[in-house]
Amino acid sequence: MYFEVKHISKSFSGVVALDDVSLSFEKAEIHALVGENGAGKSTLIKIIGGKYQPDTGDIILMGKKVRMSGPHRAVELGISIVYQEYNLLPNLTVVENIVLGNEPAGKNGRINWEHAKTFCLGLMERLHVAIDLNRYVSDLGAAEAKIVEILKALASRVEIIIMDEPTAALPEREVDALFQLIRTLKKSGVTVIYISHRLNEVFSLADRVSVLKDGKYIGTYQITNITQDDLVRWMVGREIKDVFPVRREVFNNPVVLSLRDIEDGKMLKKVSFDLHRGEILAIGGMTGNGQREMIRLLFGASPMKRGAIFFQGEKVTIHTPFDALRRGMGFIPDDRRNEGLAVTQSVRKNLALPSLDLRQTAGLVHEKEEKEVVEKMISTLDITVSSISTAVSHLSGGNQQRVVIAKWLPLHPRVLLFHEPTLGVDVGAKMGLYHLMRQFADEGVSILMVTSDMIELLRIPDRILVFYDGTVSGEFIRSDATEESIMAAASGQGRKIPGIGTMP
Amino acid sequence: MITNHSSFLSRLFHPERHSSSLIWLVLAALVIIVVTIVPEFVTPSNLSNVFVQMVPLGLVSVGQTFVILAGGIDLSVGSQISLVTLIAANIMGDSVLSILFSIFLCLLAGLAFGFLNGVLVHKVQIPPLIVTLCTGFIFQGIAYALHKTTGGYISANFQKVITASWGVLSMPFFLFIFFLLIGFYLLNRTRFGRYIYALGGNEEVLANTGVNTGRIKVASYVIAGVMAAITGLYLAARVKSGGALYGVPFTLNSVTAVVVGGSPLSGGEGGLAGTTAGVVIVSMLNNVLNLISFRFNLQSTFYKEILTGVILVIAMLFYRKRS
Repeated sequence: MYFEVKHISKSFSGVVALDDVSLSFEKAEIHALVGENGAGKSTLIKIIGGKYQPDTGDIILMGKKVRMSGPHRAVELGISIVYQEYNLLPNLTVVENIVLGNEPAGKNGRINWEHAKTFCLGLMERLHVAIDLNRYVSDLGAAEAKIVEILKALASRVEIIIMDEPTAALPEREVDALFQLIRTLKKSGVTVIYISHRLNEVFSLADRVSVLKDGKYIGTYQITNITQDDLVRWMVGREIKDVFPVRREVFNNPVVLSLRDIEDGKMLKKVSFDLHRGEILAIGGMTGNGQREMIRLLFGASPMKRGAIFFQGEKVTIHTPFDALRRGMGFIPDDRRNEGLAVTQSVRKNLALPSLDLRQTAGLVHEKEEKEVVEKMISTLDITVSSISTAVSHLSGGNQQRVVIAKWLPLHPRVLLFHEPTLGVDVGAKMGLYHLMRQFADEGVSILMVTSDMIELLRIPDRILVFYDGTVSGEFIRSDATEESIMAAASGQGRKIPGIGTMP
Repeated sequence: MITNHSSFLSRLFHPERHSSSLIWLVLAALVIIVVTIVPEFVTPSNLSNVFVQMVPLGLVSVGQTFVILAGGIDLSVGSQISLVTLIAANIMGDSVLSILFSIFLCLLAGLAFGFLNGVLVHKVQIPPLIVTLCTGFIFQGIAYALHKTTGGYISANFQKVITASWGVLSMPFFLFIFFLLIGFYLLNRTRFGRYIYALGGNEEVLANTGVNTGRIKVASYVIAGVMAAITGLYLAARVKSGGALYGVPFTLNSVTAVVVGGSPLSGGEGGLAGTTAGVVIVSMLNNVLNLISFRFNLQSTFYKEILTGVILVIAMLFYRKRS
């Protein structure tokens, strides 16, 4: 066996992240590693990369036991990692980033930049990509930056390359380029360990796939012998039931939120729609057609220029998130780590924050009441957490999202605004969130969600709006919508269907 | 064609990233204003005066630049300087050997101070602000212990060599230029320099690359310590004595010079070109405001303090992040 991890266990302050995991990799194979968030994939690659030390277990390279004393040791052994998180220096140029740590030496301790550039150009040619070497990394788009990270990982001698969700930030055509690159690497004898939530990627790319679940090793399979359904079942340990029925009765409910000719002076053009009580309304379309601006405008996070918003029949102005909160809206942003949570703080502090005013006298917080409220939220939303004082950063994506949702509940929101409700959330937790959204809707809360996930769009809402060029280009009752009709509207080809309750 | 990597010109064309070039424009504007208001600023005697004030700040700021670029800060340099002046004043004799030995010991002391700071920051993982604040107290305390009311003894020969001048040119001038050039070479031409910038940019990324970030970090504090020692030696020679408070103004002034020179405290950006301009501005302001107080018969120094603050705030306006 070429490369093995044997009986690896690791826990963080009592929480088991990896439990006796053994995996083996062959030379020149593309080996996918899948599992829900919190399954232990990231911990495992950080152990392989020398960032964490395992509590027990060994790493064996070509039959020899190696000790990963730190990231530099992994680099020495030819193990490179493309991390999921941004791993570049924005203050340096492309070439400076790629050769960082491997700068070719020139005279008198100088760096031989000429060599460095020739080297980078060679690398880019081999992988059929081209990026200006002198550009600063802060000027690059997400896709280019990811490519630079991969080039950087390849700049030292590489035997094994680990890629953690490399396609998360890439548009479709760049994904194809990346796959080409990965296959080229395989041909040149490199072992690629590929981590992804996107199962169709795993099937089109990998030779073998290993599944982790709750820190335990489930199994390794030849990709040709299994189906996507098998994988999902192994990952979540249960079958997933797909579709929620549309609840047509909600269209007869009173209108809670009504928008008329909304414009923001930049993106949005004469947007009008209604949202009924207890309805789930989803906004879809190609990314960048005003969906983001729309939902942020409703929460007062970006300004409105023209138009009118009616909340339960009353004309309102929403200049700031405070205005939105006062009207009974809760916002679940797409960038939850920066906008939705204080990740370094405890679950309790995060949950208590929006409703602090309800539990204070003269600025003093009622601690006991707060604890009760927080514990109730945790049990209502079934948040898995070891204690209420655990930092939010230790939770899985799905549980973090539940915290973002739960913190609004004491304010009894009438409308919940979800921006990409399941971004960075694994398959099993997604279903949980969908059930939760339906449950809220059944209780009479109106839900407006923006999503770029087609499957989500076709599975969850009662009604679908499609945005194109800053305005509504299509409206569907979900059971009437198809992927084709939505795509047509999203690319501006669809006819606007006179809708349910949109026209006054 | 390989473009020259970090030439001043290339920085000039990236003002948003290497804001250090901007500060030269500020400096030029300031000089024009100053010459208009107080023409006596440009008299040879005053200029040489400004220069003498500039050298020690320049020396210590070279070291401070390394630390700040690497994402740290050294608030102990002032106490280090004072302590070094006292070490020199306590052990120096008149023989060449004794003078050389004192110099060697002082440099060694600076190295040790820096090493202590670096190790505390890196190994013990205490934030640099706290570490250097604390070691600053320690160094200051030792300095008080070594302080002599007589000022100790600094050899006249040492003073002669260190403060020698030939017309406009002078030994301090060469000292400053010499260390500036070494610093410039290290920062802009070597691997070590790349790693200093990388460390300030994002330590995690550098570590993931397989570089031992601890060494780089400790080295930045060692450089600051050695530069503080050199500053101390220069001051001791110029004043011909050692004193427990000689270094005090240099802590905050060096941080000011570096930051005004366009290297933000967050690290990773800026450089020595900017620091040089920052040093000139800080020293010039001090001198010019003295001249103005004299000329307009302003009695007290409080105008000076207020004006210094106001002008520095204006200078900092240039670095605001444009959204």
